[in-house]
Amino acid sequence: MEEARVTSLRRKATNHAFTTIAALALLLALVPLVGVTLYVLQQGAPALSWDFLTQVPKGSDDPTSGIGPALQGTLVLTLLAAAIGVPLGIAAGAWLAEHGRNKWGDAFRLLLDSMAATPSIVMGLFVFAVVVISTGHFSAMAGGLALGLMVVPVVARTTEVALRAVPDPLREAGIALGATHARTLVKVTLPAAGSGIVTGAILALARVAGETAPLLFTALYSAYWMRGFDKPIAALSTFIYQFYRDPTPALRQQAWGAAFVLFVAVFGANVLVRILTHARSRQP
Amino acid sequence: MAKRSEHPTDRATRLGLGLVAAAVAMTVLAIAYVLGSHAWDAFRFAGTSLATGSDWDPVEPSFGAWPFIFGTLFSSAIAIALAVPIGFLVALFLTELAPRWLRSPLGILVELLAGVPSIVFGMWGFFYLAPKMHETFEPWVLAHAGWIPIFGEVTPGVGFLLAGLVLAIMILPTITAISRDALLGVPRLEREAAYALGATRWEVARTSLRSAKAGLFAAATLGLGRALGETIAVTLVIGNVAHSKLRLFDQGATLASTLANQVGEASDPLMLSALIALGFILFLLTLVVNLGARLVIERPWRKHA
Amino acid sequence: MQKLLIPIFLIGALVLAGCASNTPPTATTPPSSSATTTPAKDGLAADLSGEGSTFVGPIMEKWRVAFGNANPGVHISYLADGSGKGRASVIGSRVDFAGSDAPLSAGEAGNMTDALHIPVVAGGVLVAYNVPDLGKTPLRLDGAAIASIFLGTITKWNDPAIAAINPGVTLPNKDITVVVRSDGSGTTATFTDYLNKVDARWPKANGGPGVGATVKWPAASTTAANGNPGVGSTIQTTTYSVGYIGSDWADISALQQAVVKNTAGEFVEGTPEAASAALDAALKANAFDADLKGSATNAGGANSYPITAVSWVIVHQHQSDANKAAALKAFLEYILHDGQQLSTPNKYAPMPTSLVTKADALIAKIGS
Repeated sequence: MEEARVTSLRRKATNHAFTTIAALALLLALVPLVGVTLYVLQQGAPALSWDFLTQVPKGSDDPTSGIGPALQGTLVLTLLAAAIGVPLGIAAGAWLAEHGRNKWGDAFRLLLDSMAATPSIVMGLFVFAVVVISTGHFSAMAGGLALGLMVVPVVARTTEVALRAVPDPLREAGIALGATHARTLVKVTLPAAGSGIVTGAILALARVAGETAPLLFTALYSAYWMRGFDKPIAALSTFIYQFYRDPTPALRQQAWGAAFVLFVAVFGANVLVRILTHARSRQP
Repeated sequence: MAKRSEHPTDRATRLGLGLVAAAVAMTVLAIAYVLGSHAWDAFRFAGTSLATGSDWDPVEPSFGAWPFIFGTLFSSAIAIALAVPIGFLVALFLTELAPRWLRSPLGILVELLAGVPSIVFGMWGFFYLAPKMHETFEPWVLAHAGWIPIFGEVTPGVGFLLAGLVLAIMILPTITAISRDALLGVPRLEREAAYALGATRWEVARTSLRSAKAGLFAAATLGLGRALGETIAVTLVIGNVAHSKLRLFDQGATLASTLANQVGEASDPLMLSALIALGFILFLLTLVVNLGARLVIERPWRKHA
Repeated sequence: MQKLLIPIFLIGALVLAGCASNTPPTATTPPSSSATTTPAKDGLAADLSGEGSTFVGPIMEKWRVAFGNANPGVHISYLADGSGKGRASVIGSRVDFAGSDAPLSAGEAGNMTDALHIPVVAGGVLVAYNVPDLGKTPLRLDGAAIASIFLGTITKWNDPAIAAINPGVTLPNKDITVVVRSDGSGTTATFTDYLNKVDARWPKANGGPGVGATVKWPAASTTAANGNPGVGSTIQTTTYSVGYIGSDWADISALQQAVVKNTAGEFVEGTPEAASAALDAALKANAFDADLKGSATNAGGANSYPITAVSWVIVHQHQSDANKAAALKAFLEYILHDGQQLSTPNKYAPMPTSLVTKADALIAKIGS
């Protein structure tokens, strides 16, 4: 009995250590979040106003100068990226999960991981070489494509993880009821993996919404509201890039204001999408 | 089990999904091809010294990218060393330890980091963290542990450690969120059985980690991928000086940061080709790193996910 | 899934609404520091996009707003992401004009045979430093000393070479930290162009770093920073450091600036007036060719600042769209006349009259 108590104490100690360390890790993760948020807030909040969100850029002296086109541009580009990247990513991820447990799947997974590691600027250069050069102009479409390509590998891999996480009994139940594998996939497995897939999509889109480098080669920039999918377009990230090092303090402040707006917009979209798709954490 | 013929819908779906996968695979190969063909001139000019040389001098011209390769690997290694353990631990916290009502909001909070634009991380890192490193942290470390060579001898603030730290913060939400999803996929029965046998939370967590191995690997790989390829944030906090010694406080440069820094002003075709070659080298590098990681962890798809 | 349709429609509506309501920027009462409006040319209507130099960026933003206020039908956008990119884009006609810190190279000119170079601003590249012991008295430096510092052959502030030029000044016995640009930059190009002219050790042929937007810096104790504000911030936080920085930035950081010896033997501060004087002198010395390409570094004249940078707007002479041609001409005319009033308040050097006359002749060619 003595031995059992000693072992029990050691296991309890390890357990306590684990709990503490995990809690510390969480705090450690939240500290930079708080730090960055406060910093962006502090730098950017003074620039905020209704005009700021709805007017075009008018320079540093006009207090009604705004980032309206940039906000519109980021929205349009992110939606384009979603429209291109999410369906392709889910399909690729579904293939990997259901039919990819072989060496073809391995090879494809390797390619996807390299695609995910491609620097955003390289993705921009690729679309520049293939689309911008051949069409002869910068365009919102090219920008959306570059961002969409960045979304694909992340969504594909997270879809695969999410689909694999669906318990087999669920799939088997579908088959047992007489459904084809395909029908089971669409009606049972994918919805069950919904939360994970949404997570992947949000992570990917949140990241591309803040990307600058690929847009410099594809969507360029505009100081005005969107003219068309085949024309250059503004974006919050390019606006920030352009003005965060301007000598005029008012413009630098606008850049920070744009950063704050971007941050809030992404957070808002995150929360909104989760509410709409009823994504709750699956009860373990 | 006797082989049955495939239902036509299943066949169509399998082929359809396979087609998409093939199209995506071909896109990746197309990216490699476009990179390679534009980088070809630089490779012909410099040969293997493009990857092994250390002299990057566009005026000479001479293109040796080894310090950038080193910088990419070093900063990413720091990022992974910090973000993977913390990410896994936070994911475990969110799935095992946190009270149920807290799990979703905490999860969203961590994911908030994913929405911070890269350039903002760079600006925060340069204007806020770098001075703190330069004035406080680095001198303190050197004063107390300066004899350990890995720290180096200078305290510029920007450098490998700061870049690794900023990268770690940037990839943390990815690793955490995907790890959490992977852990949620561990069958309920397994965990309940473990608890029934009297296992502590830590012991159950350990078995969950093992079960979710493939998903955790995916989480770490995506995090690593982002770290290897991150451009703008790293550019602002790594210093962009071509050093290649294993010293945390030294300034450095990565393949992506050098490409981003110099492409805007480059007009000489050979220099542009050399910059694209950096992108191509990075692409090859990620293939090698990912292959290596797989060999170390073994084929993840063989194990039950 | 149906629940997603509503927000998708809402967002789509917002997006389309933005497309539809592309009303021109309302001409608000012009703020006091903008140029007095040129009489609006009736009927000017075009979308112009420009790209290039970050040096021109800040004042280009002011010009485009002021011109846009006076000509509501013209929409001008400019992306400051590098002269090289700008030149490549205008060569390929992907943008209507480029801002560039350097003229087209021989290779580039081969791909754009109808290029017009319109010089629009000049400015000094300042040698800024952080030496608390020196206080407000500006340090005197000459070309050889600056070259030695950036070559790494002078490593301490109290080096005899520096002391010789600054009699009576007590220099600290501290190591010099050199701050350079980590990103490619026209400022670097101008700075190295100057050093190339004044010191025989600098040219590539003699084993030096040579001239370029990106060079390899030999000095051992070098720190690199991104962009002018990065350099300024680094100098500010690193005592006993020295670096080069564009004139529009140094004031903001309240950095100490050196006075540099010009060819006439005078030690000159990098003010807009001194940069203008340099440009004037360079023109008189035929440093600019008939196409207005050239360099203003190391110009003669007692008031000239030797490290003066010039930026051009590069456009195609042949324009396929008559509306764009008209708008471009009007915009460039504005920049070279009324727009120059914005130069000095923003720490840029205005174009001298002799140059404006020549540039006007070039502008008149646009569209023909």
